[in-house]
Amino acid sequence: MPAMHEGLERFCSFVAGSADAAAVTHVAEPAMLSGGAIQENWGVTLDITGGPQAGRHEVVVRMDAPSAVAASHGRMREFALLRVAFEAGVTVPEPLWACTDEGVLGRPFFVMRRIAGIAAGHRVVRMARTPAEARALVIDCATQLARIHAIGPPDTRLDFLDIPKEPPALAAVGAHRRALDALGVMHPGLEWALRWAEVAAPLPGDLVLCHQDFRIGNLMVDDHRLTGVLDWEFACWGDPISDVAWLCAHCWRFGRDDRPVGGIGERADLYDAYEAASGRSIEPARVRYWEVMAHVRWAILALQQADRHLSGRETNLELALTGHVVPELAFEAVLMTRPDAWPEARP
Amino acid sequence: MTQRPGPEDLLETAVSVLREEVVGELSGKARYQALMVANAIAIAARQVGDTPSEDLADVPAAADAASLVRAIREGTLDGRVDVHDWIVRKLRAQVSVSNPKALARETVDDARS
Repeated sequence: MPAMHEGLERFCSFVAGSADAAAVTHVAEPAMLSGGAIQENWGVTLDITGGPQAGRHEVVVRMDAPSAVAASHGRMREFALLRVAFEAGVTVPEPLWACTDEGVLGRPFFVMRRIAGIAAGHRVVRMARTPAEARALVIDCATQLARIHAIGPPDTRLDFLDIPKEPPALAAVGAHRRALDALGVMHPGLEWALRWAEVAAPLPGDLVLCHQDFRIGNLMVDDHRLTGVLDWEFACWGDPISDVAWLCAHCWRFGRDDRPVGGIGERADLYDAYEAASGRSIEPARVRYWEVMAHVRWAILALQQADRHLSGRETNLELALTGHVVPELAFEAVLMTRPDAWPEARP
Repeated sequence: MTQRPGPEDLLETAVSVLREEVVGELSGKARYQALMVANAIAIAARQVGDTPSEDLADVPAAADAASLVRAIREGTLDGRVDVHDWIVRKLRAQVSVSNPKALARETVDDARS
């Protein structure tokens, strides 16, 4: 029996304590909303009696999957990130309560308000949309990115995020190489792209909160509008353009190669709206740099996921297949870093 | 001699049945899982049929793959056309097994504009 069902009564008691309520009951069985390789999300309807939050609430309980990848934050950190984003006016599900007591559901979890929409990239890109609807959704993405990027260090609520001592690009190159070494993977293609990324690293610009997984599959979309930015577990202090590039990278278009912004719309609409909302200008060369890095980073995350299957820790077909996206990601990164794309003056 | 039809034929035929007859009968999680199974079998069929290319056997500018990786990281092969060419050919061979549709990307670079 899933931990969510098994611990349901304890969960209701936890909510009653957190919400200062006389009683909390659940309506119907919890429903698994999505089961990622990293976490589980359960939809629960609660009736709260007494206290400041009395009434019916549609909530989502988010907890780690039985095993999680190295680079993901713990649920408590994600809860803190969500709270900072919510207070900064980013469109996110309202964070409600967090629980570290593993006696309740067996794993730490947090509770957020449920929002309408779907967050499945392959479905969202296939929905029929007029050019105006596509443009509105792209502009929503730009607006949200600008709000996230208005959050900067230092921030005591986010003191678990390291402030990079090097320029973000070089910090990323170092982290990716260490990840490859830890996996024991020798990959000439990824090494080629990483060396290019080292010598072609852009000068550091603003250091801001970066979501680090801002792509259509992690954005709740309802009636062609963005209703929530989800999945904050990879967030870090970094180069804001890395988020713009992650959204535009070829690997996150869900088969709609002809629409560079996440398989939805056009770069010009994203760039113009982002520049207007953030006051920060977008240099296409910097976006391109971070698109190379997007392919490298996704390749390394894919290698880590495949390793969970290969190591025997978790036999799982989805993880196993993820290992087979690595060649095309490395291919794209290497094609983007042809010898004529290297800087003239080499150190 | 292996009884015919051989492994590649069997696996490819199994993929056709899954994709053309089974997936359409399913919905939700079962449909998603059947599509994953079909993808896994299709990759395995291409792996069975794959013959390693002899012209990739020799690593350029290094004694072996480990020294190549080290030299790239240390910067002694920066921008080298022969090294890039070898890596592209090697990845092309891998992509043709893992996801042949992605080979078309070789002629596109839409972030350059």
